[in-house]
Amino acid sequence: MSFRGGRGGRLSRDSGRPTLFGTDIKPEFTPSELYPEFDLPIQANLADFEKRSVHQFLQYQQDVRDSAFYVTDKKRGVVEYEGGVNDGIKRYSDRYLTKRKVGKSVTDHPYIIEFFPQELYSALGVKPSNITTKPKRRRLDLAQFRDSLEQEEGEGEAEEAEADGVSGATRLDAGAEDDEDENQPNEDEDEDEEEEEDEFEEDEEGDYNAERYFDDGEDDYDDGGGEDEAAY
Amino acid sequence: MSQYEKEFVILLLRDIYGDIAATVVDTLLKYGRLTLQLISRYSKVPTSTIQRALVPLVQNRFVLYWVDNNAGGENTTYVASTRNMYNMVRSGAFVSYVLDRFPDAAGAPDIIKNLLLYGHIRASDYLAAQSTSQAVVSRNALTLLLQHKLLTTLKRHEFNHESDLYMRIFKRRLAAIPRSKTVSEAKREVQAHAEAREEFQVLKRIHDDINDGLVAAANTTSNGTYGNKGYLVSESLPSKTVDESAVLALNYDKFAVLMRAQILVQLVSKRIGNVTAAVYRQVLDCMEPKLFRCVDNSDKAINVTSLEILRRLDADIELGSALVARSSRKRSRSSSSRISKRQKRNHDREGSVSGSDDSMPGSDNFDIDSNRNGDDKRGDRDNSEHDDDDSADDTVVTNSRVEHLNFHLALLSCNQNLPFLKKVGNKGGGEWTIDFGTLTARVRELEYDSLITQKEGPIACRLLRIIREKGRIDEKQLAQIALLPPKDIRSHLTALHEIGCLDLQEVPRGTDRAPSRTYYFWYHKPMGAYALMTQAVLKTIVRCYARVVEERGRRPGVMSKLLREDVRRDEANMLTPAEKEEVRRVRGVEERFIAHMMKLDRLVLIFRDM
Repeated sequence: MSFRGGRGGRLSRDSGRPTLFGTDIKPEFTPSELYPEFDLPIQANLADFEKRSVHQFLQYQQDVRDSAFYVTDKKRGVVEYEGGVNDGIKRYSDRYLTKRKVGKSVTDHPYIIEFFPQELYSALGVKPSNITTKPKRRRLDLAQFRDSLEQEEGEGEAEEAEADGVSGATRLDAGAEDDEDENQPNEDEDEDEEEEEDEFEEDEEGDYNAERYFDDGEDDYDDGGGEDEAAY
Repeated sequence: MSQYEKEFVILLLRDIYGDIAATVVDTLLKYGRLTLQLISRYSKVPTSTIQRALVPLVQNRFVLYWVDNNAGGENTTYVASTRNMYNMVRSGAFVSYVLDRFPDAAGAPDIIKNLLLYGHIRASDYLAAQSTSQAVVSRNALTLLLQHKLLTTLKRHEFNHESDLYMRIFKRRLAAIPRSKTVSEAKREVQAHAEAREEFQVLKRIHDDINDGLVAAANTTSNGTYGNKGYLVSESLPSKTVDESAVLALNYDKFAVLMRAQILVQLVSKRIGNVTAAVYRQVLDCMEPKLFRCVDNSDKAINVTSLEILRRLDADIELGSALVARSSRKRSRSSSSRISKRQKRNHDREGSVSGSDDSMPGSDNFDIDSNRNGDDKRGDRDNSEHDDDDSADDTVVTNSRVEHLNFHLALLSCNQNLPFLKKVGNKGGGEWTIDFGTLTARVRELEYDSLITQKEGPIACRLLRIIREKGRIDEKQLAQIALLPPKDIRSHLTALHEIGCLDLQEVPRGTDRAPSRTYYFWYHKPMGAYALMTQAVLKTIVRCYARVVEERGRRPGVMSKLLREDVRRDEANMLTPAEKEEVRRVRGVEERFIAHMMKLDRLVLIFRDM
């Protein structure tokens, strides 16, 4: 449409292809560069408010990841990043993966069922018989606000301390808190996986616990019958 | 709902809520309104998994549903709501804002975090999940946030889409109007639409009630104004506490209002001065309880009086420091020298002389205003509650705090081009209001100008401003007004045309449309231009976040190691120095890009939501 009437129309004084306004813009037909030179502006240093907002956004992301609401089929923590391998081989580092707690699922949250459509009631863990009766009281699993800008300390998750029906669900932080006392009785209700871990870490951290691995041969009396055979 | 907004929302969901949630929303955005079976069919994910994924989506109101009770049985359809999902970007800023605004309310940030995580929580559940000492703190924080309307209560209809609600109201209204021979079918529908619109407006504003989610506090031991049996000792209003049965959620509309206030105050401080900006912030704070959302707030105008502002103004702010005394004809010479010496002292003390220099744009207006205000002040002095600390010398314009305040308010209202305030009356020391419609339109223009200056240069911005003022103008006249040769401006105009800032209108002179015999008028359509700019900004946001995800993905080893429980507890010892360096890089990238996203979100707020 822009060139209508220009090509065959009256000649103009200017050279170059006819365009909308006259004919003095010469269009370039050479291909443009793929990455032309560009002056990238440099981001200014972040203000305090912005740093805190970023931190809170990342915390929010981490909280949802840790909660039951992160729905994925992949084994968490392993195939999350493409470098991870899901080949079914058991590895030592598996015990440090973020575990889905056995009792914890999407159904543990006290939902307000009037707000959900009936189709989803099964996913909420509400059985049709329960609807009219008062559902079992479940406790909220609360996230705690952490002020520190250091994400390392801030992300002490301590999901170990929380189980279904425990009140005062606060997370164990690396730093001491006033309600650590409250958490002591909660440790009894920890799950078996945690106790298993604690066993290993009783004496010393790390693998090179000499006392645990030392085997002084007192138990090796079962081989008494096999001594007749020559050792090759 | 644009292509880039959809992309962004899916990217966010995939990263935060998992890939199945992202797939479900992707399907809903591609196909529109779907039932559960159709979602399963199009996305090829089993129904049970979709149900599981829909739970957090419905909880956060990212996906709205509608239950259709017709003869064929119940039918539930789902619709994705990009507006609610886009608000995830503002989540970090929300928590930070609450931290800054209410430093004393210890439980407030926790509440916000939990509401972000869970979408909505019943107040009683929240308080029950904490120890008793924490619960008291939380209760106060909840009440405070509800009073400031940063939290809102939820009703069942807020999980349904607006169009469904409107259709239900419309059908009901239509059925209520009886059919008759005199009234045609079309007229019935028109009337039903009018009534339905009114009812819908009322429905949208049910949370504007001042006592939304609050009930009168029973006799509480913590509240000192109550006597033994719980009857009021003092004559102040009964204190409120949160209603335990209310379901609470975050109010992003109110947060948008607060962000808008921040933007306006920044503009004032850039244009006029810091002290005036502090005064303006106070004006906005006074108006805040009545502002519920940015657009379509309420039909009544909101007025603030000078005395109210003065009462709530921080005592530390030196109002007089930014002002220079005007030599008024009414002053006697001795007092003027006295005053000017005092002002000189103030100048030396405060560094805000620059504020006074460019604070005199419409100096004549200001002079008249100050004299008029001075007259008013003298009249009102008997009635005002604040004592002026100067001697009662009627001919001298005194430097009292009220006067200074009025000077600042006059400064804010004197610029016709950028009317921060408007004076509407005289009682209470002066009544002021803000016309947000014109003000935000002007703010949008300024912001757009600065963006164009960055992209295309100052000459292009000048041309845009000329075209904006003139309406439709052709090249020759434009060159005359801009005092530039036509050949130079042509490239700028075409560049602006390419990014959607300008449009062309052809007016042929004859019956044939030869280009040399037609007029070509350039004009600027604001709403279209802003929409295109918003799209570009959203595209940038998508790219920023995609880059963050990519940078994390480039270091899979370190990132999966960071997810380990033992590493999380003690990063300093568990990572090798090389890994620590990588982590530092990734965290730096995250921080910079997400902070940039929040700055771009400010632009989206200006152009779209304000």
